[in-house]
Amino acid sequence: VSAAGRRLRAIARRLCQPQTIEQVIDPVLADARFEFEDAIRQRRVWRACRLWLAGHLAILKVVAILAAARAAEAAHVPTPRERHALLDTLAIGTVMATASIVVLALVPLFNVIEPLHVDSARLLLLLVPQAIPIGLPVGLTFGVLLGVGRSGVTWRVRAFIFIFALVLSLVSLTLLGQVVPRANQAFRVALLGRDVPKGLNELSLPELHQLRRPNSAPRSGLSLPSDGDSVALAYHTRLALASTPVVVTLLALSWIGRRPRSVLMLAVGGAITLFGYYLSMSGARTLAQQHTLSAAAAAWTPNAMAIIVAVALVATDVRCWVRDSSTIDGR
Amino acid sequence: MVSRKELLILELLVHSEELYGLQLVAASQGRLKRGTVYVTLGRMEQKGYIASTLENAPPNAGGLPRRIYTATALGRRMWRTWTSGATRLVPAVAK
Repeated sequence: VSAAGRRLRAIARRLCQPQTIEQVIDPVLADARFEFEDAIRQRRVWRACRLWLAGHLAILKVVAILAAARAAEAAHVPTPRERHALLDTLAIGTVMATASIVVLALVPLFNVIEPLHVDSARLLLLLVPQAIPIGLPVGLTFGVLLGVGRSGVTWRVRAFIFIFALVLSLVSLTLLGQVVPRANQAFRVALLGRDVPKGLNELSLPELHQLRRPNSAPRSGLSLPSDGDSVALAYHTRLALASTPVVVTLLALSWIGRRPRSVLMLAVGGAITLFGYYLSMSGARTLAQQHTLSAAAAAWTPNAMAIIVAVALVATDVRCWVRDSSTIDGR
Repeated sequence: MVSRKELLILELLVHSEELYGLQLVAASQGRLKRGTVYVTLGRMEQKGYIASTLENAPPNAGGLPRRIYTATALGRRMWRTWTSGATRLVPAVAK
């Protein structure tokens, strides 16, 4: 068996039962070797090379099929308790996200126009996209904490929630990259009743990226700050904001750990988490505007801090688990 | 329930008595792929439709021995049931 074949067999051994290795992996390897050696005996070098490649691809395919079967088995949610926790997370998260989005869209609306303005419904709709990337992390944080934090969380539930947060981050990225800038510009035009030059918040992510290039040509019809740092800050802030659903989910999951906690404690914890996160975001932004921090560092600092805290919490949880296990073993 | 691939493998084994995995791929004329045939063979062995033995390799041969597959009595009966005219005429029999 070739070195590559041995490596693939070693991977398969981690994924499968010994019986599966015997029945599925070993026959592939044996047949591929036999076919290859037969071609060599006949001095058909090109055929041997082709068979060597086909044999290894076949092994790879078998390992991939077995890995997919194993993943599907692991992803299955069998316990009613886990299903219940996930549904609770979804329900609480949806309610909290919707409430946050409505509030975040209404506040700027009341600041700029009379509440009973004839176009207020349309303007409110145009303000909704910019509220979603902030509403989603709020919903996720409270959804995770109150949905699964009361009963303790299993690794399978963690994986489901993390994948869901990843999808929401992609939604957020699409919104911040394309939808929010267009909605912002439409809001400004609708409010003033005339064409308005675009500012930084009205440029799409690719447009911001293009502006960051050192030799980018100046574009007409834009109202932009003269320094390049503001453009870089806007660009990095959008990317960092898009990753917020994943970051706050990691933080929330690491905090709840395996032990159940009271609702009050979880709600207060969620509020503190979000307040701290957005406060650090605002603080870092101020430091960047004062040129104390670089734009990239300012935009990503809150996420980096949150991940460090999450890792520390997980490490503590694991230490407790190891200590508890050794205590039980010692009895 | 027997899949189309499983039926094909049973058909080949019923007619040829015993075959290696790659011989099955060659005999199927492209209907079986070398990347998936072993997974199907493993599943069929677990169901009891086929049995396998390791070849008696010469003493100086290195590497893993090849696996030879044969249809079991259950596999032969299953193949006959599925391919008989009665099964085609009365689908309920097949279930």
